[in-house]
Amino acid sequence: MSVPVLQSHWNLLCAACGNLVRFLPRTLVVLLCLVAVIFPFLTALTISEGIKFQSAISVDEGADFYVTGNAAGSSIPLPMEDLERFEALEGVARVVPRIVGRTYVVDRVITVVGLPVDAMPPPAVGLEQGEAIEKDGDVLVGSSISKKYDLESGTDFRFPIKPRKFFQVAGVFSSDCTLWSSSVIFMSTEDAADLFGMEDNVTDFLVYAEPGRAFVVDMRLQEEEKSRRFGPLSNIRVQSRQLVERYLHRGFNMRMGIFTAFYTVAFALAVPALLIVSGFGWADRRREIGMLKVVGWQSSEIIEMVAWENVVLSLTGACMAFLTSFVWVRLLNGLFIAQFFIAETGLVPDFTVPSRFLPLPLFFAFLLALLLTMTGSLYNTWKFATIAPAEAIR
Amino acid sequence: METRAKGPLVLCSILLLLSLSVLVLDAHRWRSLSDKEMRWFQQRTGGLGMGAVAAPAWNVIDFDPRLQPIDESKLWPLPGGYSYSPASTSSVTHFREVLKNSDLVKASKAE
Repeated sequence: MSVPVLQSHWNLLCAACGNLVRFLPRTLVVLLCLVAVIFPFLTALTISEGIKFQSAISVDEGADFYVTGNAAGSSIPLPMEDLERFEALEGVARVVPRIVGRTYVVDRVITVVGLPVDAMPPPAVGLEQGEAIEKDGDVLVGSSISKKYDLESGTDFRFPIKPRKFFQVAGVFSSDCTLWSSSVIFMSTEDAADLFGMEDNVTDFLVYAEPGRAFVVDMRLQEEEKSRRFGPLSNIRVQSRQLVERYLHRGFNMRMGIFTAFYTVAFALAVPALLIVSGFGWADRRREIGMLKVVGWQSSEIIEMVAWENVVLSLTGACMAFLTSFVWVRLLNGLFIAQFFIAETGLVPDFTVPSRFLPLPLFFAFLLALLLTMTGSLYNTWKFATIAPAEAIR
Repeated sequence: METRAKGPLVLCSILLLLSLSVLVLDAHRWRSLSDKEMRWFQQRTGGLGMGAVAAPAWNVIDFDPRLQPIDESKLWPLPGGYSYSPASTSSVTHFREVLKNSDLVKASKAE
């Protein structure tokens, strides 16, 4: 190091690194603590970012308006005959009736989606097996259900709620088709209505507006919503794309807020733990600080040396947590841990766990690690560096 | 530099370089990522799924608030009480009913 001003800092950094090796057990324990605290935090952030990406696609590619029935505050099905009423509204390009329900296959909850067969035309780029639906009783199944119950293309099966009706697997969704496709069974509207006993009703209508005319459709649907023309007990509930986008922003930000708050508590609890851990071997450190004072070190130099120790420890800990998270989520596909962040996943996820590794969480992880280690050691160092050397050595 | 001082610095540098490489590679992967299959699925189903829940086992709102914008798991066993749904407590997303402007009725003082 040729610059004299930097030479002293470089020397202190080297001394700090020497200390980390000399107090190896303490260094390892602190590193393990840091990784244990930061790893779940980073993993949650990366999975959340991955799901947010898929969720944004879900909103982008979804309908402009979702119309359901509404009775006493809950969504209820609407009669199929309302299709023509919505199609006749000004600015509407097309209306697709849809049935979405939940039921069991053996012991597992799945989502059943019923749409007109022409809504799933080839090419079926999202299928890893089989082809599109062609006849009554044909279904497309999610990758998780297919793997768990050996439902491959051409297999016949029955639902517990409709044991007399046979369905046949026409194709299997690719495991890359978002996490929600893993436990879904797709079929025609008629089959879904038959399965749930809904006769001529659907759970919602997907309303697509003509380009640039969403505002007009919104106004017309609001008029329909207020008119209460759908019978004395029921009304309709209209959810526009803007409203769904608000769900998206609030759903992720609010949970992230709660999650951050949860981890703030975890970090707060980690501070005293690290205080204890950092104090491991402090009797030796106190004597060493006393000796350094005796040979002429300034208090500020001692504090800077300890600060360098913390910087190296924090950077190493944050990077280790980051790399562990990457290996576990991306290479091991969230084995065992994905279920803590994505509900109904199981120990071994059958779909690609969504994740996105960004620089900001890594930077925050480093800052938090630094905060923890500084809190755990700077006060002690300052205390020992400012007392008389004879007292420190004793 | 002392020999033993090199160890932590070398280790830290390697880990930092690896982390930065992962960030760069991941950013590159995202730029070249084909979301064709995801878009195909969402186009065909009319938009299905928004939250960190693979299947609507406990409630529908955490799976997709478009299907059911109210949280049914808060209606039982204690109506209006704490939600016992693991989908609400363990995942990284959480949806709550969004009121539209038309739902907000301003109470006026009786004159």
